[in-house]
Amino acid sequence: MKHRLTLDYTLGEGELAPYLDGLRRGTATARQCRQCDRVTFPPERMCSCQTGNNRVATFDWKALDGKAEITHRTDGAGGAFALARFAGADNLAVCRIIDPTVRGNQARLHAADGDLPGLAIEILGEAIETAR
Amino acid sequence: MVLVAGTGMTAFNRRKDGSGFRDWAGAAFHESLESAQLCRDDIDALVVASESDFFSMQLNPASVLADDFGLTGVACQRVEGGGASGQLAVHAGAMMVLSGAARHVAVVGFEPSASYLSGAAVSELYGYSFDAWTDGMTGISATALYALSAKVFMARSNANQEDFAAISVQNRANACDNPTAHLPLEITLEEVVDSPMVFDPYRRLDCSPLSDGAAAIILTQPEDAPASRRGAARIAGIGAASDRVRLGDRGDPGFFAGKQAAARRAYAMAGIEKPETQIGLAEVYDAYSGAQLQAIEALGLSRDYLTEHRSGGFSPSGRLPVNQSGGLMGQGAPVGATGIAQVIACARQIEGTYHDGLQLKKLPRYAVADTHGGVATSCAVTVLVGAGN
Repeated sequence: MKHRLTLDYTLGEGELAPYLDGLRRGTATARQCRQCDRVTFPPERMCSCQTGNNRVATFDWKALDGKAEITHRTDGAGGAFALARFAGADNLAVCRIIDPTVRGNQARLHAADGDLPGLAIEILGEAIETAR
Repeated sequence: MVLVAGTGMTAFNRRKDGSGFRDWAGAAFHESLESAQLCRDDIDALVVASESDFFSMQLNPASVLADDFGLTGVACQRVEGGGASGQLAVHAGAMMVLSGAARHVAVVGFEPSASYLSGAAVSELYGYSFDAWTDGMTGISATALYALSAKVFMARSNANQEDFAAISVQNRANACDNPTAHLPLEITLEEVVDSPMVFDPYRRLDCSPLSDGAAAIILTQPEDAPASRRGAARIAGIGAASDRVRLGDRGDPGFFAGKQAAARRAYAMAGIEKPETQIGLAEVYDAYSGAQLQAIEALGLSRDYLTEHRSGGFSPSGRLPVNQSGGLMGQGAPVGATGIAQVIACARQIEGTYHDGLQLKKLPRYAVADTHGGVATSCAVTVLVGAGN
């Protein structure tokens, strides 16, 4: 029995809208906890400083300069991805590397494209020849 | 304690016979019922584990299976926790028995992960198993996320790619004596490290397969079981815990902290104070080869897991056999059924009725089954014990 299902979602961006708007423009919009100043990019919805009580964490949006340092990287047939820390952020971000042929640890945010609206970075370095 | 009165499972593989998940679930359920020496009318609750409606094209599968099994009228529910779905369903069933809400609970897990959709479609769907809004929307795959976690783990632990490859070799070799296994392979270390790269450090043979299949157990209080089954293995402890869903929000993205918390809860319930010496068998969640070492670390199963791994301590003849069934890499991984199959392997080993060639000569007193969803985000651990303990 064959059956085909095609789905076309419209996802409500809710309180993450400023972050996602920033990605579309190529700007890093982080969240900063008003209680402990922790800065997260990608943004957290709850700050760990509020774990011990029932208060809802409150945040401000904070612009980062978009520069990042790659801490770990993986390459494969489906592209390259990294754990990277954006300057000014206290957490790490999972990022798609725009051009996997480029090596280096320093990177900057790249504007997201329509099909992949998540975090993408371009590495500040030179392309190298690869076997693939 | 909760008795595992009956067990049943189908082969885990890629079905090419035109059968479907309702056929497999029915076969596993009826085998478990027969094994428990109970009748359909004895069952008063059904807990179903299945990871995704996208895979099965069936929302609300518990009610459908209750109808298929002839269990109309029983309480039925579906439990989902990604890769941990099967064991979380076991936990839900055990709690029903312990609370007195049910006397005989059937726990049935299934997943048509291999034959219903293309591998590419399943991989894309798995990409949304994590934080779909952030990590998922980068286009990252499960393999790439596990690879990043493994790289952090390798940097901290000094484990290397050959350590990972040795796990793949061992688990596939174990699967050769498991007639239900998806990937029984006699392979060498070199074949693993020379297999095609998926996402470094993981190569194709470091990855568990997408499988079809089903598994089922019947849970009850020992006094509510037929006399002939009262000596079966018991669930002595259950524990579950979650970790930060995004790797980047974790203190150490290479450490499975949620698994550690889940294990500590299960050990406390079972009265286990020194898992590294009291556990005699472990079935752990080796979605990828390196994840097995990460699991052994988080479960506290060894004081020096890397040295012990390199010296064969987790092999079938070692101090603590790990994934004697072949694990996910050898036995296979139909997600909703996986955790239940792990519990079955532990229960049958404790009873001494596991597959010839894989049955441990010295019956383990305690065995631990471990699963997780995400990259060890939703974790579930079950401790089983023999009747005499």
